[in-house]
Amino acid sequence: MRKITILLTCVSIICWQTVWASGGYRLGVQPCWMPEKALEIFTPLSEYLSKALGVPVELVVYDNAVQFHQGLEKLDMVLQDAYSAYLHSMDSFEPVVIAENRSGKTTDRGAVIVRKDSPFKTLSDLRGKSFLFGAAHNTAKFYSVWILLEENGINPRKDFSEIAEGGD
Amino acid sequence: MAVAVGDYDAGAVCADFLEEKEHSRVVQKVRVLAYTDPAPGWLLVLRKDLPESVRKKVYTALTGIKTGHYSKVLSSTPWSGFLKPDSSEIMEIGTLVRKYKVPYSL
Repeated sequence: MRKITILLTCVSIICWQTVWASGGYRLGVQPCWMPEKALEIFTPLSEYLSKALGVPVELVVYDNAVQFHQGLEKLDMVLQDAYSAYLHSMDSFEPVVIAENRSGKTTDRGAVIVRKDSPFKTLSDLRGKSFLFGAAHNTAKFYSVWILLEENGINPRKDFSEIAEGGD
Repeated sequence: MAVAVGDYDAGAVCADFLEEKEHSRVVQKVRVLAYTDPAPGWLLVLRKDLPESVRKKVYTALTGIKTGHYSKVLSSTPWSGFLKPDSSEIMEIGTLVRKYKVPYSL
Protein backbone atom coordinates (compact mmCIF):
# COMPACT_ATOMS: atom_id res chain seq x y z
CA MET A 1 0.00 0.00 0.00
CA ARG A 2 2.85 2.38 0.94
CA LYS A 3 4.67 1.66 -2.33
CA ILE A 4 1.51 2.37 -4.31
CA THR A 5 1.04 5.66 -2.47
CA ILE A 6 4.63 6.69 -3.19
CA LEU A 7 4.26 5.65 -6.82
CA LEU A 8 1.03 7.61 -7.22
CA THR A 9 2.62 10.64 -5.58
CA CYS A 10 5.59 10.49 -7.97
CA VAL A 11 3.31 10.07 -10.98
CA SER A 12 1.16 13.03 -9.88
CA ILE A 13 4.24 15.24 -9.40
CA ILE A 14 5.57 14.30 -12.84
CA CYS A 15 2.15 14.92 -14.43
CA TRP A 16 1.78 18.23 -12.60
CA GLN A 17 5.17 19.41 -13.80
CA THR A 18 4.46 18.22 -17.32
CA VAL A 19 1.11 20.01 -17.43
CA TRP A 20 2.69 23.15 -16.03
CA ALA A 21 5.57 23.11 -18.42
CA SER A 22 3.61 22.10 -21.49
CA GLY A 23 1.99 25.51 -21.57
CA GLY A 24 5.39 27.17 -21.58
CA TYR A 25 6.45 30.22 -19.65
CA ARG A 26 6.01 33.95 -19.95
CA LEU A 27 9.02 36.29 -19.79
CA GLY A 28 8.16 39.93 -19.17
CA VAL A 29 10.49 42.88 -19.67
CA GLN A 30 10.20 46.09 -17.65
CA PRO A 31 9.34 48.90 -20.09
CA CYS A 32 12.56 50.80 -20.73
CA TRP A 33 12.40 50.53 -24.51
CA MET A 34 9.61 51.10 -26.99
CA PRO A 35 7.65 47.82 -27.25
CA GLU A 36 8.78 47.12 -30.82
CA LYS A 37 12.40 47.73 -29.84
CA ALA A 38 12.06 45.53 -26.75
CA LEU A 39 10.71 42.71 -28.93
CA GLU A 40 13.66 43.08 -31.28
CA ILE A 41 16.18 43.16 -28.44
CA PHE A 42 14.85 40.31 -26.34
CA THR A 43 13.37 37.83 -28.84
CA PRO A 44 16.74 36.04 -29.19
CA LEU A 45 16.86 35.66 -25.40
CA SER A 46 13.34 34.21 -25.17
CA GLU A 47 14.14 31.83 -28.02
CA TYR A 48 17.31 30.79 -26.24
CA LEU A 49 15.41 30.13 -23.01
CA SER A 50 12.77 28.18 -24.96
CA LYS A 51 15.49 25.84 -26.20
CA ALA A 52 17.06 25.55 -22.76
CA LEU A 53 13.76 24.74 -21.07
CA GLY A 54 12.32 22.64 -23.88
CA VAL A 55 9.05 24.59 -23.89
CA PRO A 56 8.00 27.90 -25.43
CA VAL A 57 9.00 31.04 -23.55
CA GLU A 58 6.67 33.81 -24.62
CA LEU A 59 8.16 37.30 -24.59
CA VAL A 60 5.85 39.93 -23.11
CA VAL A 61 6.59 43.65 -23.52
CA TYR A 62 4.65 46.65 -22.31
CA ASP A 63 3.76 50.18 -23.34
CA ASN A 64 4.12 51.60 -19.86
CA ALA A 65 4.86 50.91 -16.21
CA VAL A 66 1.20 50.61 -15.22
CA GLN A 67 0.61 47.80 -17.72
CA PHE A 68 3.80 46.13 -16.58
CA HIS A 69 2.89 46.14 -12.90
CA GLN A 70 -0.64 44.98 -13.58
CA GLY A 71 0.69 42.14 -15.71
CA LEU A 72 3.31 40.87 -13.27
CA GLU A 73 1.11 38.19 -11.75
CA LYS A 74 0.72 36.56 -15.17
CA LEU A 75 4.47 36.23 -15.66
CA ASP A 76 6.80 33.37 -14.76
CA MET A 77 10.04 35.31 -15.18
CA VAL A 78 10.82 38.99 -15.39
CA LEU A 79 13.73 41.09 -16.58
CA GLN A 80 13.68 44.26 -14.52
CA ASP A 81 16.01 46.57 -12.70
CA ALA A 82 16.80 45.93 -9.07
CA TYR A 83 14.70 48.73 -7.58
CA SER A 84 11.65 47.67 -9.58
CA ALA A 85 12.25 44.10 -8.48
CA TYR A 86 12.49 45.19 -4.85
CA LEU A 87 9.27 47.19 -5.10
CA HIS A 88 7.11 44.79 -7.03
CA SER A 89 8.47 41.30 -7.21
CA MET A 90 10.15 40.14 -4.04
CA ASP A 91 7.01 38.55 -2.57
CA SER A 92 6.38 36.30 -5.54
CA PHE A 93 9.69 36.20 -7.40
CA GLU A 94 13.32 35.59 -6.57
CA PRO A 95 16.44 36.84 -8.37
CA VAL A 96 18.19 34.15 -10.38
CA VAL A 97 20.84 36.13 -12.26
CA ILE A 98 22.04 39.70 -12.63
CA ALA A 99 23.04 41.19 -15.98
CA GLU A 100 26.66 42.10 -16.58
CA ASN A 101 27.11 45.12 -18.81
CA ARG A 102 29.72 45.45 -21.53
CA SER A 103 32.12 47.09 -19.08
CA GLY A 104 31.99 43.99 -16.90
CA LYS A 105 29.85 45.64 -14.22
CA THR A 106 26.60 44.45 -12.69
CA THR A 107 25.77 47.88 -11.33
CA ASP A 108 24.37 51.13 -12.70
CA ARG A 109 24.93 54.69 -11.55
CA GLY A 110 22.74 57.71 -11.78
CA ALA A 111 23.86 61.29 -12.34
CA VAL A 112 22.46 64.69 -11.49
CA ILE A 113 22.70 67.02 -14.47
CA VAL A 114 22.18 70.74 -15.01
CA ARG A 115 22.45 72.93 -18.09
CA LYS A 116 26.03 73.73 -18.98
CA ASP A 117 25.38 77.45 -18.67
CA SER A 118 23.62 77.20 -15.31
CA PRO A 119 25.20 78.74 -12.20
CA PHE A 120 24.82 75.61 -10.04
CA LYS A 121 28.03 74.10 -8.72
CA THR A 122 26.91 71.77 -5.92
CA LEU A 123 23.80 69.82 -5.03
CA SER A 124 23.03 72.36 -2.32
CA ASP A 125 22.72 75.02 -5.01
CA LEU A 126 19.63 73.18 -6.26
CA ARG A 127 17.51 74.05 -3.21
CA GLY A 128 14.38 75.84 -4.32
CA LYS A 129 14.86 74.74 -7.93
CA SER A 130 12.86 72.36 -10.10
CA PHE A 131 14.03 68.77 -10.50
CA LEU A 132 13.08 66.06 -12.97
CA PHE A 133 13.66 62.45 -11.94
CA GLY A 134 13.73 59.57 -14.39
CA ALA A 135 10.92 57.07 -14.42
CA ALA A 136 9.85 56.07 -10.92
CA HIS A 137 10.79 52.46 -10.11
CA ASN A 138 14.07 52.94 -12.00
CA THR A 139 17.19 52.25 -9.98
CA ALA A 140 19.70 54.69 -11.48
CA LYS A 141 17.38 57.53 -12.49
CA PHE A 142 15.11 57.54 -9.47
CA TYR A 143 16.12 55.45 -6.46
CA SER A 144 19.88 56.14 -6.55
CA VAL A 145 19.44 59.85 -7.17
CA TRP A 146 16.85 60.16 -4.40
CA ILE A 147 19.33 58.51 -2.00
CA LEU A 148 22.18 60.77 -3.23
CA LEU A 149 20.10 63.87 -2.60
CA GLU A 150 19.00 62.71 0.86
CA GLU A 151 22.58 61.84 1.83
CA ASN A 152 23.57 65.38 0.86
CA GLY A 153 20.91 66.87 3.10
CA ILE A 154 18.33 67.54 0.41
CA ASN A 155 14.81 66.29 0.91
CA PRO A 156 13.37 66.30 -2.60
CA ARG A 157 9.80 66.75 -1.37
CA LYS A 158 10.64 69.79 0.74
CA ASP A 159 13.71 71.37 -0.80
CA PHE A 160 12.78 71.58 -4.49
CA SER A 161 10.24 74.03 -5.87
CA GLU A 162 8.92 71.29 -8.14
CA ILE A 163 9.63 67.61 -8.66
CA ALA A 164 8.46 65.36 -11.45
CA GLU A 165 9.29 61.94 -12.83
CA GLY A 166 9.64 60.55 -16.31
CA GLY A 167 12.81 62.08 -17.70
CA ASP A 168 15.28 60.27 -19.96
CA MET B 1 16.24 66.49 -22.62
CA ALA B 2 13.92 68.58 -20.44
CA VAL B 3 16.95 69.87 -18.53
CA ALA B 4 18.88 70.59 -21.71
CA VAL B 5 16.09 72.80 -23.05
CA GLY B 6 15.57 74.51 -19.69
CA ASP B 7 12.20 73.05 -18.67
CA TYR B 8 13.75 71.93 -15.39
CA ASP B 9 16.73 73.33 -13.47
CA ALA B 10 18.21 69.89 -12.82
CA GLY B 11 17.47 66.27 -13.44
CA ALA B 12 18.46 62.66 -13.04
CA VAL B 13 19.82 60.42 -15.77
CA CYS B 14 21.48 57.06 -15.96
CA ALA B 15 25.24 57.59 -16.17
CA ASP B 16 25.39 55.33 -19.22
CA PHE B 17 23.03 57.73 -21.02
CA LEU B 18 25.76 60.36 -20.96
CA GLU B 19 28.18 58.08 -22.77
CA GLU B 20 25.88 56.91 -25.56
CA LYS B 21 26.66 58.46 -28.93
CA GLU B 22 23.02 58.83 -29.94
CA HIS B 23 22.51 61.26 -27.05
CA SER B 24 25.58 63.40 -27.73
CA ARG B 25 23.58 66.42 -28.96
CA VAL B 26 21.70 66.54 -25.67
CA VAL B 27 24.68 65.66 -23.54
CA GLN B 28 26.79 68.52 -24.87
CA LYS B 29 24.24 70.95 -23.45
CA VAL B 30 24.47 69.64 -19.89
CA ARG B 31 27.05 68.93 -17.25
CA VAL B 32 27.15 66.53 -14.33
CA LEU B 33 26.86 67.92 -10.84
CA ALA B 34 27.22 64.59 -9.04
CA TYR B 35 27.18 60.86 -9.59
CA THR B 36 25.42 58.35 -7.39
CA ASP B 37 26.99 55.28 -5.85
CA PRO B 38 26.65 52.16 -7.99
CA ALA B 39 23.51 50.12 -7.38
CA PRO B 40 22.56 46.68 -8.67
CA GLY B 41 21.45 46.76 -12.29
CA TRP B 42 19.07 44.44 -14.12
CA LEU B 43 17.93 41.12 -12.73
CA LEU B 44 16.09 38.18 -14.09
CA VAL B 45 13.66 37.10 -11.40
CA LEU B 46 11.74 33.85 -11.43
CA ARG B 47 8.41 33.04 -9.83
CA LYS B 48 9.12 31.38 -6.48
CA ASP B 49 6.64 28.57 -6.99
CA LEU B 50 8.27 27.29 -10.18
CA PRO B 51 9.99 23.91 -9.81
CA GLU B 52 13.62 23.98 -8.71
CA SER B 53 14.55 22.13 -11.91
CA VAL B 54 13.31 25.09 -13.94
CA ARG B 55 15.28 27.54 -11.80
CA LYS B 56 18.44 25.48 -12.31
CA LYS B 57 17.92 25.27 -16.07
CA VAL B 58 17.37 29.02 -16.36
CA TYR B 59 20.41 29.77 -14.20
CA THR B 60 22.65 27.37 -16.11
CA ALA B 61 21.44 28.63 -19.48
CA LEU B 62 21.86 32.31 -18.68
CA THR B 63 25.20 32.09 -16.89
CA GLY B 64 26.46 29.99 -19.80
CA ILE B 65 25.76 32.62 -22.43
CA LYS B 66 28.99 34.54 -22.07
CA THR B 67 31.31 31.60 -22.35
CA GLY B 68 29.19 29.61 -24.74
CA HIS B 69 28.55 30.14 -28.41
CA TYR B 70 25.30 31.95 -27.70
CA SER B 71 26.67 35.47 -27.30
CA LYS B 72 24.51 36.55 -30.24
CA VAL B 73 21.59 36.06 -27.85
CA LEU B 74 22.60 39.29 -26.13
CA SER B 75 24.06 41.17 -29.07
CA SER B 76 21.19 43.69 -29.16
CA THR B 77 21.07 44.15 -25.40
CA PRO B 78 23.34 46.39 -23.29
CA TRP B 79 24.69 43.24 -21.63
CA SER B 80 27.43 40.73 -22.21
CA GLY B 81 26.27 37.99 -19.87
CA PHE B 82 24.63 37.07 -16.58
CA LEU B 83 26.11 36.32 -13.18
CA LYS B 84 24.90 35.10 -9.80
CA PRO B 85 23.40 38.09 -7.97
CA ASP B 86 24.62 39.34 -4.61
CA SER B 87 21.47 39.21 -2.53
CA SER B 88 22.94 41.52 0.12
CA GLU B 89 23.18 44.33 -2.45
CA ILE B 90 19.53 43.87 -3.32
CA MET B 91 18.52 43.85 0.33
CA GLU B 92 20.50 47.09 0.79
CA ILE B 93 17.97 48.73 -1.50
CA GLY B 94 15.23 47.92 0.99
CA THR B 95 17.29 49.31 3.87
CA LEU B 96 17.81 52.67 2.15
CA VAL B 97 14.23 52.85 0.88
CA ARG B 98 13.00 52.56 4.45
CA LYS B 99 15.64 54.91 5.85
CA TYR B 100 14.91 57.71 3.40
CA LYS B 101 11.28 56.88 2.66
CA VAL B 102 11.90 56.78 -1.06
CA PRO B 103 8.44 57.09 -2.60
CA TYR B 104 6.71 54.50 -4.71
CA SER B 105 6.03 57.25 -7.20
CA LEU B 106 5.68 61.02 -7.17
